Amino acid sequence: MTPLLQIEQLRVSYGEREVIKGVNLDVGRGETFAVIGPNGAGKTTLFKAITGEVLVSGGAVRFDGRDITDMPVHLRARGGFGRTFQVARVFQGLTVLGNVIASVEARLRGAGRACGAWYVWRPARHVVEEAEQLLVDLSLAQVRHVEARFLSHGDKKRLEIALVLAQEPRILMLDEPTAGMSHSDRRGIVELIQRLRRDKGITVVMTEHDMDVIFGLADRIMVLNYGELIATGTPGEVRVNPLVREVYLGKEMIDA
Amino acid sequence: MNPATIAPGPKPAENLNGVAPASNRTPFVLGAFTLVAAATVPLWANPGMEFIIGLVLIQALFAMSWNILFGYAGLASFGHAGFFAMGAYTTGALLRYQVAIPFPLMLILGASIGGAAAWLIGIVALRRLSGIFLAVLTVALSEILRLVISYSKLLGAEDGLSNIPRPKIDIGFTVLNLASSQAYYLFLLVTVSMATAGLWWLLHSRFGRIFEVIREDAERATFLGTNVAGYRILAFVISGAVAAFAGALYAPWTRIVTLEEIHWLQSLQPMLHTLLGGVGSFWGPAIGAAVFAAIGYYTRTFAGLYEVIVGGLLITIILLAPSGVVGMYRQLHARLASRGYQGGA
Repeated sequence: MTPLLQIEQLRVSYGEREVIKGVNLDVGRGETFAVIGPNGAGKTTLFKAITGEVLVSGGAVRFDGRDITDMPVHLRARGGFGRTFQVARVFQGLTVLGNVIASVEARLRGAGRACGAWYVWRPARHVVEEAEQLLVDLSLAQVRHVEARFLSHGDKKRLEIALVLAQEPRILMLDEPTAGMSHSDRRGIVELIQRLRRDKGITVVMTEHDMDVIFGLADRIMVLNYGELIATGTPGEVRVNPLVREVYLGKEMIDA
Repeated sequence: MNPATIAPGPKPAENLNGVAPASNRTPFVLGAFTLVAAATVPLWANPGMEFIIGLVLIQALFAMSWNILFGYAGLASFGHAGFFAMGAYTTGALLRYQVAIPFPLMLILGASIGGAAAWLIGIVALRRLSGIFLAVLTVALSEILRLVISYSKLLGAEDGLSNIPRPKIDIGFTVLNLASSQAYYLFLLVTVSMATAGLWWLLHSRFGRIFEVIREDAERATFLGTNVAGYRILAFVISGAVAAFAGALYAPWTRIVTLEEIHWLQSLQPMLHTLLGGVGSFWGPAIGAAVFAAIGYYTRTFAGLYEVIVGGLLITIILLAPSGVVGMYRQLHARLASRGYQGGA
């Protein structure tokens, strides 16, 4: 079986400067894959090249065997890419329930399926029920009629995950899922991701700074430095890799 | 888990998208009342008053068309008078030269021209432009249209089209003669109401929700599989078509169409109406149009007073109540009805 996500000789340049210099990687089905590296290593750029936000100057991105290198973002999303942002992005002026309904409707529309009779302006019952169920799953039911902008940071992050899950994604692209979170919120997110993997067998690609989170979640880790891959392997392998130790010289990584 | 067993959460002040149970029927009661009052205008108003109220209907629809972009899709057009003029010149010229096509078809043609022009601008510019660039582009295009018409003898050049006859509509068993201002006024009321109802449905339906989601966060919407550029073009087309439709209704009402209609000051009207009435509210632009007309009417004998009041009002609105008259009403309503949700969960 082919890996779910394959990156071949991927190159990205910002003007003259090449920031991703021919990176290869495979992410298997159901795997949780973390991209780490020092600041400026190109983690975010690599991430955005996979999601389709930055133009690729060379190489290929394959999803489920299909070349999606030039596919627009919204079509990748319909094809099963779910993405969260460092700072949670939700529809601030909509209620929590309204947010998830919008996402469920977007999925049904993308799949060419009906969201109820065309002339009915209210969201269809099955759409609302699905959205309510997701909110229950993510412990957001209490605040479902609250406008998203009033939510706490942690709740916004969970709402964003709810929005993405409403898409029934096959791969979750999490850009620093615990950035700027309190310790307890952080643990909550880790547990949530673990549960999603267990229950839905979802594949996860993430960047993250927090080593506890990475070593708690990742099946495999890729270390990036100056746009080049310097190591890939299980958390145990990466931890003892001398090159990685050099890059992270004296950093928390070694003690993690 | 059965949704019915979920503990009820606090309700927001605003009834967003009708997702929360609809408890607020006030707009409908007010709307019905306004409609009845507007229908009786020919019975009690003098011709001057009737003319102004007719203009308010047209301006309200025009302002709503602008608000589709600004309030719902998050785009700003500063040259919306261009679309309005396309409709006005379409029916104006067709009636003036007595082209033998039914009037409803003229209206549809006018709206289609506006929609087609918006579509062209959309596919060329909307993928690349938004914000101030789109605004400037639309001003430039409407100025170009003004220049083109000013050289067109057929469209009356600098003098405009005057003596536009009002139409007759053959509806099979009888002919509606709209020559009198009473008759045309009632026709205006019916068509504007129907167009408004259509817009209300559109903007509250799932299409409206798509526009709203794009306005809230276009990037997030893209990552949920929404073709943002496509829906922005669609919003632009609908807005352009409705603006042109309002223009198409305008020509036979005033019976004269001039270059004034494309002046950039005309593009400002729907913005002022929307700002005053309430950005992001469906009825805001209509309320704004009515309030502006009322100020204009009661200050008509004092030169300059209108500008002073309007200017002062706008400053007050922008500083004290950025969500306009409707926003003030909602705040008041929310404060009286319940204590809203206070903060982080």
